[in-house]
Amino acid sequence: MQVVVNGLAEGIGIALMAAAFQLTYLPTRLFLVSLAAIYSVAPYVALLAPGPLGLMAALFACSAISLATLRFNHAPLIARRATPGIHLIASLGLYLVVTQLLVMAFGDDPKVASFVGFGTVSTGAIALDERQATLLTAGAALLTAAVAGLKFSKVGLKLRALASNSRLFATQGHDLQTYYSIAFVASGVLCAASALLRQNQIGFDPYSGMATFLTMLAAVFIGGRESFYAPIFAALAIGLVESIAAWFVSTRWSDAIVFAVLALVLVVRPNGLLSPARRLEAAP
Amino acid sequence: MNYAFHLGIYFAIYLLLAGSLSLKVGYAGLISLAQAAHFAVGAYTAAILMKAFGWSFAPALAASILVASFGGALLNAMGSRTRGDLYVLVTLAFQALLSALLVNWSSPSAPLGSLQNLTNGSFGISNIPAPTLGPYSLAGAQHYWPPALAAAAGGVYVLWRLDRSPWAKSVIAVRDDELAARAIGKHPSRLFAQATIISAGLAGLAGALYVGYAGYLDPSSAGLNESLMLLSVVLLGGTVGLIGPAVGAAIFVLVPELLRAVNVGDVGAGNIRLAFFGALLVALAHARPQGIAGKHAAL
Repeated sequence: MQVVVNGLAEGIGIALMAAAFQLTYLPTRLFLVSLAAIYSVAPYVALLAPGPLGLMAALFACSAISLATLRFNHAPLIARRATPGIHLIASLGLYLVVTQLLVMAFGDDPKVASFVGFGTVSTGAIALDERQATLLTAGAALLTAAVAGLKFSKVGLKLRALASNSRLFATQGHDLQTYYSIAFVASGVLCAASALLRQNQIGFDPYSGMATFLTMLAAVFIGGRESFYAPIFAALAIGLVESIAAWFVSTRWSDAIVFAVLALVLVVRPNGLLSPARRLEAAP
Repeated sequence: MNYAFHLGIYFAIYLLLAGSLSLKVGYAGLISLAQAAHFAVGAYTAAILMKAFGWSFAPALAASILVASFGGALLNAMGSRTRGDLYVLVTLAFQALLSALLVNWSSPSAPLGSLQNLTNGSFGISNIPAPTLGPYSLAGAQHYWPPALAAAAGGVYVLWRLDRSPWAKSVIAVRDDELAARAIGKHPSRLFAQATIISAGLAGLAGALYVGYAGYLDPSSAGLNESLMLLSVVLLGGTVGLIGPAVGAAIFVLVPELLRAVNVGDVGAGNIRLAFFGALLVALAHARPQGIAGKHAAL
């Protein structure tokens, strides 16, 4: 039972990042590796001010950076009808620049900070440290709010419509840039939340964003990239896999096991386990 | 003069690397973030065979090419049913998997090269024996540069022959319009697999050359940053033809020297170099996707 709870706690952190990624990917069809850089920025911004002020600053900064990447990096390329490969290269470049600026400003040695805490939980069968308890409460609440917002709100409906068919959405008179901006801002907030909750009390460095991004990527591939929700379930499953691997094998092999599972899924069912199979030539 | 040989050796290594990546990116249109992984596979193969099993340099070099090519086949198996930016992310996952293996496949109590301790983990492999050619030692830049340049020339010759062959035209046709190419009887999957395997083999050769000269290796050689830097210089130099990779390799070698010339310390130079290549990628994406010396817009 402890293993399951540990896994769920980690899975929620990854699921928040997966939700952040899908919020930008599905409306725009762009793989934004720069999200890994935004993840890395969040804890450093939170360090600049104490307590809740630091948290708010981190959420604001990450949403602002996310919006800026849309406005200054990707919107000009969208206007020039650049291919997704070009967008990916621009995103990769931005990731490199931001992480190296972080290293030059703060150094690359790991730092530890406590951003938020709701106390520990201990019952007969389960013991949760403060970080895990916070992930399971605040993280789960945030994830539920994100999913509910997508499912039941008007803006969520419009984002899902945009993700389904952007041309039809535009012909109905909706401004694509407005909804892209909403998606990117929401993505920045979720990404920052994932960063602050996952790296709460265990340390962070400028490169930790890419490690989480890759695990999140595994969730997106395994769950299926055509759905807002499938990667969230896959992320929870990956959290469980990592926890089981750490418990029964070794913590140092948990990442390799996740990627090995990803490799298997890519060979057998590249569209994901929870998405319908599709021909290679079919447009997304 | 010795320093000029040193730069020449690194130019040869990066020329091979850049050329191998241009084969995938330029001809096949497959952007890859796993080239450093193939480089590391070749390097680790050579290092383990030379240090743990006492192989001489030439057979270790050949084995590096074979093992790296096999790694390319594995990557192709993972990514053969994906295209475009999805393929890029598959290569990213492959790179991450390999990095995890290189860092973690170690055991302090087991000898290097054994099943428990294949790579020696984060400690890396040091004191790799200097290569020899018969009775002659190739230790040192002044002795190593002729074989390094010869190996690079061999790799460039392979690329040149491929560039002029019907195979290259078939790959480019598939890159430009896969459905149309398939309609005239081309096999996209087979062609992409061939491009991936040849590219991986050449990168493995570069890795073995690096190990023979440097005498030390650790898992950071398989890092994502290295793959990103390589991608940026290949895109800058041009993705098709032979001049593009040469321009890219020259940039790769000269940027640290320029930073040294303006008195940037070694610690800061690495970060500035990475940030520079990152900014280069962004600028290229916005300004000129086909690179300075490239012939085609491969992206």
